Amino acid sequence: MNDLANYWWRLLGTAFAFAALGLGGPLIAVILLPILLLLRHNLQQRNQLFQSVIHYSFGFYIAMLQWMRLLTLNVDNKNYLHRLRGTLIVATHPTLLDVVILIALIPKMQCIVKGKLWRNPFLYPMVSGAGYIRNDLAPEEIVSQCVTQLHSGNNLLIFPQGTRSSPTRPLPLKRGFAIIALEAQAPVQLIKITCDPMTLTKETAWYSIPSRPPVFYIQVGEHLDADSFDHQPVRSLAIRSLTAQVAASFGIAKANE
Amino acid sequence: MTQDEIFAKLQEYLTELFEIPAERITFASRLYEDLDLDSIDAVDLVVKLQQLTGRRFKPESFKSVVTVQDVVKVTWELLNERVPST
Repeated sequence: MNDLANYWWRLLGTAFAFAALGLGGPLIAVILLPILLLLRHNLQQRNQLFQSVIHYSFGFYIAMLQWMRLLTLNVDNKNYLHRLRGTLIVATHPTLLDVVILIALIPKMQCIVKGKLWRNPFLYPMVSGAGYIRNDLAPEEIVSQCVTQLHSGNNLLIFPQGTRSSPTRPLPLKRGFAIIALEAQAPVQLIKITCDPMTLTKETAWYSIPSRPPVFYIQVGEHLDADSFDHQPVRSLAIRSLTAQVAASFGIAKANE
Repeated sequence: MTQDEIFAKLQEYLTELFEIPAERITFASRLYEDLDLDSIDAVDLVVKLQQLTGRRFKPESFKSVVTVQDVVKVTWELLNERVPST
């Protein structure tokens, strides 16, 4: 009986958590809209403000989920992650919550976001206010905006697998992160996210919750300094070499193999 | 330069720039799906082909390229474009 009660509590809690994410975002956006208009000329200040608001809201959200016993978060080295600046954060991506967790843990975080969200009236103030980078720009333009962000001291989050994939059948890495790291000569911090039991994957519906509350493990992986990048005569080879190095560190096979 | 000669050069570039084994490159190979190139690789390849031909591609001419055959074709066309006499 206890198990059943626990199941229903977590199912209702999960429904509430999804609703909070869906409604909380627009609510904060509406509150912040006047500030967006006020600060429209001071880009730097506006981006920092929005980034902080998103960082703290996501932090609150994750704390709430833990308090509701819907999940447990297990982080390797919180202080280290909190201090990262101007670093390319390259992470594995098993679940829907990965981005929320990493933005909650690491301040001054920039992301590359679906260009579609700029046409969503509720999310537009958020993504535009924070200065997030649109994924529908020309590839060279995306790279150059990412480089600018890293050089200005912001971190940049990239899931090189492109979309959620199971740790047992991981997608191969795309090379975009390596292009950006080499172009910016920015340090790369690998983060391995795992979740046990698995939940919120691409294949599962929101209501198919696991038998017990999931534990999210955030493992701080290798830190690659720009000096350690393989120096190759042509950039295409350096990009491939860095991608292979990171794939090996994550234990992920290369594409076409 | 004949289309076969362009193909041989292209094969050489693809091996040298992107570590693609020469035997995997045929006229029918698709750049993105079969040879695992991405849009930034395409930029690097265009630069190489412009060095080879000594001419510049029109920005739109590479847009519709899918296979190795297509690259050979647009490069060949570029080489045989009539340069307006002055």
